[in-house]
Amino acid sequence: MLNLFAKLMKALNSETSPWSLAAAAALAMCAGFIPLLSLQVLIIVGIVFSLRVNGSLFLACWLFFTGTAYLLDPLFHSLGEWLLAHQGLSSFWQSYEQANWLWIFQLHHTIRLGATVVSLVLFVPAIFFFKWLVVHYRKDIQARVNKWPIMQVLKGTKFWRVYRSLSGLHARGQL
Amino acid sequence: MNKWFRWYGAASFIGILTGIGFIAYLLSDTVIRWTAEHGLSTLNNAEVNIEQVEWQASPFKVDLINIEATNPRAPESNRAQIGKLTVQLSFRELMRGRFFAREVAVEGVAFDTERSSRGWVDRNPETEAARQNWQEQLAAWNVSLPDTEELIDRLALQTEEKVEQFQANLAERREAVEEARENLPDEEQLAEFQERLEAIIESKPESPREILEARENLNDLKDDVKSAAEQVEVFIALSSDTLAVTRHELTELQQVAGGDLSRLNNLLSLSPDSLPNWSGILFGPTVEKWVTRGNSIFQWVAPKLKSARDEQQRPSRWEGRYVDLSENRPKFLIEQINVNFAQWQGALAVNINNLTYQHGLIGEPTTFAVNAGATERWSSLALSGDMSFAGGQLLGQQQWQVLGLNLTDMTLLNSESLTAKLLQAGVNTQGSTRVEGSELSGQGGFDLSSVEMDFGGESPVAPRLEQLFSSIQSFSLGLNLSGETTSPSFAIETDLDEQLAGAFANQLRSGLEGQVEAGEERLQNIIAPANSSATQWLSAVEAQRAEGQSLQESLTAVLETELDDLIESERDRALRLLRERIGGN
Repeated sequence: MLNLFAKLMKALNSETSPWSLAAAAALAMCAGFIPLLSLQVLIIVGIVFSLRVNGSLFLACWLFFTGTAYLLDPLFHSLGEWLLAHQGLSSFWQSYEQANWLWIFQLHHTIRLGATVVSLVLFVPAIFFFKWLVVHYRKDIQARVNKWPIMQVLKGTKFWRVYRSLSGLHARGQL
Repeated sequence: MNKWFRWYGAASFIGILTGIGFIAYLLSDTVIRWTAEHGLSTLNNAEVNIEQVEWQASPFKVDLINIEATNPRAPESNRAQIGKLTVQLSFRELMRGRFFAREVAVEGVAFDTERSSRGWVDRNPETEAARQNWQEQLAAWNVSLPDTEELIDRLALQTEEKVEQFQANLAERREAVEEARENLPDEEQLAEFQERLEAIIESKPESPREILEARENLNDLKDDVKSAAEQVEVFIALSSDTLAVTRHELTELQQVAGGDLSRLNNLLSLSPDSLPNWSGILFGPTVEKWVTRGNSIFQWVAPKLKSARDEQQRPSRWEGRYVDLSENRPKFLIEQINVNFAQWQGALAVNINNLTYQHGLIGEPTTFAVNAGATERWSSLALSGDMSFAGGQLLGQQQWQVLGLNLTDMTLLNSESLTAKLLQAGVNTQGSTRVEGSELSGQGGFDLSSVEMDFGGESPVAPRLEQLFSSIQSFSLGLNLSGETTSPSFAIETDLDEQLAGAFANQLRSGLEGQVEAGEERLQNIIAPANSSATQWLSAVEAQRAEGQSLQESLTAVLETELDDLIESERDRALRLLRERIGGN
């Protein structure tokens, strides 16, 4: 956990591309919202492995959004129910029912459908939002955060040593 | 491209997935077996073991080999053992949230097989409560059956109790009579009355003053005599009552010996209610087993289907639900289940069609039938029925008819104190059951003929039961079912109890003849001392009552004589006064 937090701080404070960090957070949001045992989550994890997005931030945000998803599940359920019962979508659902491969996404499950739709809708706006957040942090907040007493305390701890060692490795091109 | 894409990351991901898939494949048998054992154990309320699992992906088929389902009521044995269960599932439908099996084949089913080790049991209070309490009845069985000597003992005890009661009553009466006797006027008092009376008579009053004085004396004497006469009257009444009641009781007591023994035959006309519930004790557990098996489809399958239906219908805001996009296809359907039994020479087969809880979607009820040709065990066997969920309720019915069923070596009871085995019997049975909602109702009849029983065990009743059953060749058991489908209760109506009671009475009578005289003498010996002392006392009371009556007569005579004299004296005085007034002498 300490390692993860150190990596997270390093990523935020380093020269890592804000787009990379934003994409990691947006993908984590999708993976957190959608129930864990889904093909969608597996695909998202595959994307994270395959694209140059920040893994530490992805893991941290995944944890955060998984917790958030428990609060949002009733909303996803209601949205899923509404979509599955919507008359205008009946032909789409008939096609889904008849198709031989679409069922692997389990979209006839209310929460899974609601969470998938919300994730798809929010994904692009989320990338821009998280990118703005990273830039804003680095520009306006990072310096102040470093001056916080808590950060001074942390600097004397194992956490800071881990962070420094990671920074050093990164500077030497070993990470 | 490489700016955004990480080839080694993608390769790692594929590698990890492949590894997980390979491990899953290696563990698939274990996972399927564990899942099936866990699910079936939950359904069975006791341990279920599966020896081996085989599966194939296309078509998706799972074979469960050698399934042993522990009997929750006897964990050392299996409720059922299945040689092989094959389920061919539609994987496509399964991923759509539907359980669709075209065929389930169950082969080599055997009931009540031994387990290699005791299975764990998930104690279910409802199941425990539903159990018929035959063991308690077996405990009651330890009450030994009475024989002739014991019956005479019972009579002797009753006679002794009667004698004791008679003697207690006699002592009370003796005390009351003595008390009344002490209140009788003694001789001195009687002499005083006589003297006072004679004094009044001899005073011959003539003047009005004398007459008035004599009258006052007479009234005083009259009051005293009346008081004494009342005591005498009380004594006479009490002694008369005592004599009458005591003589009556004594007569009754004297009749006890001969009378009760002569009534012994009537006592031996035993009501079946006065004996243990023979039919329940001997056939209850077996009938319970038959009922459970006969209604297994209602008892086991129906509640599971209902619970599956309720679960499907209940939406959860936190867990979501699978929405059925194809509303004309049921979520759970097994089109055909074929069950073959290892027992009964493999001649028995059960077919279940359209097992589902959404009968409205398929437009047909679930039907089931037991097919069997004639075998050495039976000449014909038929069981069929159907069930369906309609209007939120389970409706079902079944009929059965078995003719010429040969039962051999069937253990009915197996306890240390008593074992009972049906060596041989021919059975014809038919009946029907019906389910509406959770209520089960129905009736059936079992006619047993050519019955041969064998009894053993430590209990002294075992040989006697053997004797009793030797005279019973046939009997009927009627069965009335009621209660919940999961825990039906049943009542047995049978002529067996009556036949056994009759046989038992006959057995007792046959041993009675030589014992009547000895029994009578024994009872007479109990009564004789009480009889002798009571008779002597009654004679004494008789004499005392006669004395009392004599005394009463004397007192009455004394009183009457005194009055006549007084009247005579008054008349003489009036005549004399009249003559003096006329002037004559």
